[in-house]
Amino acid sequence: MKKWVVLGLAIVLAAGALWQNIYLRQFSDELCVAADSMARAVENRDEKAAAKAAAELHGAWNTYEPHLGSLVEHDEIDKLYAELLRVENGIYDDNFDELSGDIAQLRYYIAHIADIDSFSIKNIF
Amino acid sequence: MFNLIVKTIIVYLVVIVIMRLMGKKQAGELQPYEFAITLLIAEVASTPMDSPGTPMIYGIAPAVTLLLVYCGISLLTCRSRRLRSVICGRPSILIHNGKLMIDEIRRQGYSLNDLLEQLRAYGETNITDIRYAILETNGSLSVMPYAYKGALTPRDMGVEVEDEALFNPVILDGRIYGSGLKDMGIDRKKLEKLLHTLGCGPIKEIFLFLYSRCGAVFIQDVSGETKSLTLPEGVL
Repeated sequence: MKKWVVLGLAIVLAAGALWQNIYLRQFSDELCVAADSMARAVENRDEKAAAKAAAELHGAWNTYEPHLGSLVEHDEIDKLYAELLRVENGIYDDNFDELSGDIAQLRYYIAHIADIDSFSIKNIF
Repeated sequence: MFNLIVKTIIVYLVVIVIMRLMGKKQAGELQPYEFAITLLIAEVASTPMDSPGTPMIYGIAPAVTLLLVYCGISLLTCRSRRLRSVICGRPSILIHNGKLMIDEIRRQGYSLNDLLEQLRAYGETNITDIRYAILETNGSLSVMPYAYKGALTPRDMGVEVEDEALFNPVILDGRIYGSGLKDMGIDRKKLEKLLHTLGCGPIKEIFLFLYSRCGAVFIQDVSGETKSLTLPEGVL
């Protein structure tokens, strides 16, 4: 019995770690695509496209956010969400001059979330 | 705050499950690798409690990982003697044929005061009476006196003795212990009758009732009065 419980825990642990990596990578890829299209729209000064990309990004955020809290430090999530809201406000206020920097920062936070738990020498040491 | 309370309860339960899976040995004397893992589990499991923004998984996953490492090391040390001596070390003889092994005692950094204290715990104060004192890999000291210092046993005397049967609890603090009653082969009514016959009060007034299969009973009531006797055959 004990042997099976330990074996079960080993499988759950390995599967959970794999799922977490895939989930965070998927989250990061999807949001990065939306952030990139938002950056392009801002570069072109296309307000409508930027607003659409921001809505897409927020939609993707809403999809992933419920599980994110149990996988990532809450500070990271708060930081990312605060940046997302700042970028959205910038778009609605037509504040295109500062937006490029904000979007780059947002993109960095998004990519960083997937990197936190990715299996690498950098993360181990 | 409620989250923290729930987190704490969950972490506590997880640690209990992990310690149970590690086995009973964890509660007693530990090998160095067991001791290290026990310390680490306590540390990592408390992470989500220390910082409310940290997900539970940051405490549970390392704790489960440590359990798996522990099981892996236990398995390997059981199979390989060499690995076992590397991880757990080897027992050291501190006293041999009534003489202190000075080099070994110094190598182990074992203080003489500790050694004498341990010997006293074994009831030995004279080193010349000790054949072996071995410092085990889990840190405990095994003391083996010379045979002439050993206690006289029924076997030495050629006397045949019966093994004592195990005493099982039947009443604990005024409450009947189901398995004990089953062991006696009687029901509650018969137990009440037996207590009456033995001059004891009702069940709720009995603090402890122990019964062994050879018919011996020990009874102590809440007032502190005790009875220890062997039930005559046919009473139950």
